[in-house]
Amino acid sequence: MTQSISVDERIARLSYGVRHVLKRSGAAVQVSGGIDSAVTLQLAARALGPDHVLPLFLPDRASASISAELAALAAEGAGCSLCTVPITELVLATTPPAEAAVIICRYVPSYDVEHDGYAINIDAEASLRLATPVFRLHVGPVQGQATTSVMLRPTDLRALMAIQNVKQRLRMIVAYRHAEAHGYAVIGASNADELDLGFTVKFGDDAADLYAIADLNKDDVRALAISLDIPKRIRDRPPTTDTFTLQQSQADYYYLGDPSALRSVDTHDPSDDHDSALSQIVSVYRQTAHYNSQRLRLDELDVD
Amino acid sequence: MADWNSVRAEILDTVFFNFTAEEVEDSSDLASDGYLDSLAILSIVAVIDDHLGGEAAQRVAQRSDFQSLAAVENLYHRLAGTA
Repeated sequence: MTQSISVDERIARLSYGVRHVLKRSGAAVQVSGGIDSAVTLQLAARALGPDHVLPLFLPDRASASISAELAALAAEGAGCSLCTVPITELVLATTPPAEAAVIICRYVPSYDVEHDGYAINIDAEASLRLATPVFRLHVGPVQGQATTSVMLRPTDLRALMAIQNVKQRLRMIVAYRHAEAHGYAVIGASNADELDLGFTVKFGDDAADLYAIADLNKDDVRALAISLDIPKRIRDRPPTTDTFTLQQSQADYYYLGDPSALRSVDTHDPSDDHDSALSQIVSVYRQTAHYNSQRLRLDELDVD
Repeated sequence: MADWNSVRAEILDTVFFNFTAEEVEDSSDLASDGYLDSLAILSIVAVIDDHLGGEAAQRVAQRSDFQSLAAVENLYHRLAGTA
């Protein structure tokens, strides 16, 4: 465990940040049923008191059924009342499934919007061969395993990702709507791997007033979860994106395995082809992270 | 089947639209010179596969095939059997 801030110090800082810097009386935390949000919720409850923390579970039709169960378990463990706000209608209103279906049917004509789901996963072999992230479209039964996989044209990849990113941004809107109504701050649950490697949606899941675990990589979060007595079922759940209508882990989507492999790429042998390719992929990811964190102002632009 | 000149024109038009043809032609390292981003490689792959039919570029292209426009041309001829 490489945490530089002790648990007590982290809780104290969270309390100070919400009450004295943000001048809010409490906090809203989006909970997904995963370990990051469970840890963040537990920290917030200890820092501010469970009565001043609002856990928000914002499922849509792509959310796995186990997510609701584990989100409730996380809230119960923190002593908070879970607030569930389904966003399916919002998602359908802003990004009708037919829009994605038009794109998907160009590649998989048999795609049936009622019964089939899809996911966009990283293609490890092609990514390492081309030394750049390559994503493939996977199609199969809703919440099931993929039965078909094809490479997308960049224009279609962009279009599908734009559709998917709406969901994270809708969650942000709902989170702020509830937080502001209570006079609360929004506490973010993004970890250091996600922020360092750009695995966030700008103005979506990266949007928060204060980040409770932004300095912790996934291994650190796991260690902290144990010390906070986060239930084993939550700790043992493989990290998922809970974004697409097919089953998908974070490794399937983005990390090419465990994020620690990408995180440690700077120490790899640059003369090794595999390491070199991985390094270039990480470089692309870090550009994404840089873009996500930028707030460009014209008056501050360096113009050549 | 299209010839390299039409493939080249489409690549310049759809991938390198922010740069002049001369800039791209003169670069011996497209990535280092800032002409090539991650989606640009996939766009070139898509253009070549469109022109040749099938998914040959998807399946066999290597990073070194995108070092320069000349390298892309070599890739095209290799896949087209015109090398």
